[in-house]
Amino acid sequence: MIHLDNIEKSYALQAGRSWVLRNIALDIADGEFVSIMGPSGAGKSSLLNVLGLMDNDWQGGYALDGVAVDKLNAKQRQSLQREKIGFIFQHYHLIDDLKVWENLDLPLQYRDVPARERAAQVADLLDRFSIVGKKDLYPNQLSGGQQQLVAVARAVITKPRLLLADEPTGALHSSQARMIMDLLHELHRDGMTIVQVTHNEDYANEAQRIVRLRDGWIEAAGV
Amino acid sequence: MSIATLFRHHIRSPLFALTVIALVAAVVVVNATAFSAIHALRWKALPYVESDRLVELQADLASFGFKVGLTERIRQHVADDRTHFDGALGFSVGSQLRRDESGERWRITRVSEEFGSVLGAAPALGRLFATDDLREGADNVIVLSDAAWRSRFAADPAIIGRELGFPDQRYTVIGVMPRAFVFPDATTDAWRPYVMNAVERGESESGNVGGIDVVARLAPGVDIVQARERLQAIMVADGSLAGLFQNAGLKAAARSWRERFGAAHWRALALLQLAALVLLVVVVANLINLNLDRLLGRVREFEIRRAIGANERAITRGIVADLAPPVFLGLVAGLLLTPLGLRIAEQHELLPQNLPQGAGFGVAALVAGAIVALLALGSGVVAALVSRRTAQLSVRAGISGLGHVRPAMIVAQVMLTTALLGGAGLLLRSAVNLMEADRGFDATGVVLTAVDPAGVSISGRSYDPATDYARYLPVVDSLRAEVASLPGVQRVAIASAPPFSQWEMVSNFRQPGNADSIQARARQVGPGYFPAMGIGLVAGRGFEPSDHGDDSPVIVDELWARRHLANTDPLTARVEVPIDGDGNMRSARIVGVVRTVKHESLDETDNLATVYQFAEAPLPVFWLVTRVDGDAAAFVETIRQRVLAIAPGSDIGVNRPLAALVGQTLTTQRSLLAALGVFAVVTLALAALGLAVVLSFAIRRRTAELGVRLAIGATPARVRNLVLRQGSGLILAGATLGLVVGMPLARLLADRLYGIAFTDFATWSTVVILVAAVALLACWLPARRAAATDPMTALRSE
Repeated sequence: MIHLDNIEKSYALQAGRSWVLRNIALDIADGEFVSIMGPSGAGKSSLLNVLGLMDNDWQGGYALDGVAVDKLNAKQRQSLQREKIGFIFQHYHLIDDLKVWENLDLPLQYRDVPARERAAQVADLLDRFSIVGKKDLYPNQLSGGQQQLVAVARAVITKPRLLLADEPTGALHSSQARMIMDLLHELHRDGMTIVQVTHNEDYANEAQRIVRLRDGWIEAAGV
Repeated sequence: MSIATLFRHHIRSPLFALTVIALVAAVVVVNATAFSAIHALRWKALPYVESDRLVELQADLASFGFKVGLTERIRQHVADDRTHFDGALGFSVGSQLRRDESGERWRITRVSEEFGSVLGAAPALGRLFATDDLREGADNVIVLSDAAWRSRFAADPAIIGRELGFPDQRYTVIGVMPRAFVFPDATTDAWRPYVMNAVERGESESGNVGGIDVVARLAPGVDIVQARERLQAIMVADGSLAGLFQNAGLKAAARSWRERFGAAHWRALALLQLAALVLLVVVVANLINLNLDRLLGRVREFEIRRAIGANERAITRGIVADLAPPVFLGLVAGLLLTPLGLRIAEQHELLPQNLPQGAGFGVAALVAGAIVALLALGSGVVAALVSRRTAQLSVRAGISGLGHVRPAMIVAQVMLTTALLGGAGLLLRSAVNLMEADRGFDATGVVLTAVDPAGVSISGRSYDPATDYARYLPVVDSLRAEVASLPGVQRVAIASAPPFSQWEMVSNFRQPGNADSIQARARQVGPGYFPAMGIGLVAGRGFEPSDHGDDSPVIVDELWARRHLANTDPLTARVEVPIDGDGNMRSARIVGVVRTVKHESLDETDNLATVYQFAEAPLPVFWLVTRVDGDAAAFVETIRQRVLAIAPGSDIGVNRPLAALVGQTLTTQRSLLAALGVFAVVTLALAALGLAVVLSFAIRRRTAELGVRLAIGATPARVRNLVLRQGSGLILAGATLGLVVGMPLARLLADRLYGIAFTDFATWSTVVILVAAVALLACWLPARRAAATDPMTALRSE
């Protein structure tokens, strides 16, 4: 699914460079559930941004589902991102002015899905995530866990091949976090490839393997 | 907070302060100028005792569509009517400046007895005219204005008894009027007795109205309506005006003295004030936006202040105090510029020059400035109130990232801009229509010169038609020949009242075999008049030198032919023309038909036809019509000098290019168009600026949201279009409301529009498109910025 070959990212400073990612080589198989861990400043979120095609300022080789990302132009990367990747953010990042169902509908609009089909997919997902009763509420009317639930639903409604989650439980208390982790497992069981960044050792261990970063290097790639 | 601290804040962020100063100064000068002008016209006290009891009495020639003064005979009847009037002052303003022996120019107004009593004025030095001064031969006395006494005689205290010499007459100074006294306006330098000469007496006795202007003082308890009714009764009772009642629809007219100066300007100034208020609203809206931007950058500061004990009132007070220095500086700058604004308004004839009451800087300007300053400070209060709810701005509060107040202000700005631009657009098209209107003549290269070889009109000499006509006829012939011989002169002709000379003569004509009189413009013209004026010949021929005599033919215009000779060949028809003032007529054959011309204004309707009669020399005053090669203005002085060389002592009145005289009639319209146009453009620029600022603000607040949209699949183009749609919604709402509000308001312009309705679809649709285009352009930059949002940075900053 994912093949990273000597990925490096740095910033120029007055005296030298500051390295964010160094010599990252990583393979993630299709359908794998991987956790990325490391101390603050290790480069976890930066690696996730590279994987999610949000960050294009890096060197090295990156193949996503057989496509050489480093050979693509900006428009092609955006297209690939829309087709393959779903993102879950730590702070949910739902759009406050849109109702729950509208937040779910939005990614489908951006992929030019016809209205009738969108309505059907939104209804399915609301039902699957048991949030039908909340479809007309606004994000600020939901608890943190519910908002993250909706964010996960928004991320998967387009049926991405790869789901990236940046600290998905970081802003939640334990019961809500548990709910989210259970959901990720359910999606994994359905065949989705999941890469999560997490500080929580327990949640990290629920993945199939852990990739540990330190100072931009992969310390251990897990088994 | 000390004043020094307040100024220090603004020195650190000068852009905000400079913007506020500029906006406040601009709107203060505009509103102070408009309000000062309106105040001067409507309310400012005139320099006369109980001036609200002074009325101007006129003869309304309803059939001809204009009003003129009265006769001395009628004035005397009014003055004798002590039941309704406390006196009636007659006056005749010298149409031209006279040069005294030392070369100084004077405008002298002749005034009847009651000069002091009607106006309630007493001289500062000497005396006014006594009854003895109003006899022919004893009227060589003069009263000076204070301005003339000071500027030309160095305020000599021994001025009484000094002589003022003119080429034809010497006057003894008998008095000096007080400072600030002007009559009828500030252009008059001196007054002398109104003593009729033979011509004037004859015209007064025969009922030729217009010889003298009259201002009367109402008796206690009498109003203007009663004054008008009384004047009507006086005119009916006086047999000399019977012909005018029958043939010209003569009616009495009375208006307050103040209206004499303001009537023609009131509507234009009211429109200007409306435009100034629109600009004020737009500027205040922009100030609110600017303040909001500034305040939202101080949210943390305000939270700290609240944490250490400040309540909302204290915070609001601080916000207003912060705004006070630039508002104050803007107010001062605006007030300092207001006299310049008033001068510009006078120069562009939006405000009458030389008002008796003056239109200088005063209380009105201060009031207007204070209102603007209060509203500008109020914008700070509004911004403070709105900024308290900043946390809710992104949550279902109207438009995303904006709340309700800012979108409403943008809609209001676009609405007002559309309305204002619509008005300016209508005036522009009207002006174009006017300039392109067929005026019937070609003004290019034509100079009009009013020549009075006998010196009656300005120098006050006498003229007896019985003896002087034969004396001056060769002079007129010589003048025409000499001017025609000048290099560059194509043609010269003589006329009694050419178009746009502001001279008018209407007579009664008849169709043969029909007893009914037909009023028509009566013109006396010599050979070559029509080619000289560029008036096209439709049928027949122009006048020839052999056309003089008792059987002299006439030429009519197309309007006469259409109305009275529809089924006849005009060249076989005849017209009965008057030969004297007793109603005697003679039959004259029509030898030509010419194009109908505009006589007084380009937008006049065809109300009266014109009959041209041959005249070798319409004395005592005639017009030279000179067509030249090239620029007519370059020949003006040459013609004047040639006339004076041939006929020294002639009075030369108007001596100007015809195009300038035509253009003069458009001055107010052009000025109004220029003023509204400038306001509209400035308002459009401010509305666009406001839109750009507001959208930029919204995008800043929505940075994270835009990042999310991009992260979950939106293309940059979609994000850009999202912002454009947001702006477009505001523009569409504003433009639509602008049409709804603007069209009814444009009705105020209806009487100033020519060849275009105030609902003209092409104009309004063009305005809407222009406003939309400019506003969309203003949205473009913020939209592009939104599309360039880096989702990673956006989400990280959240």
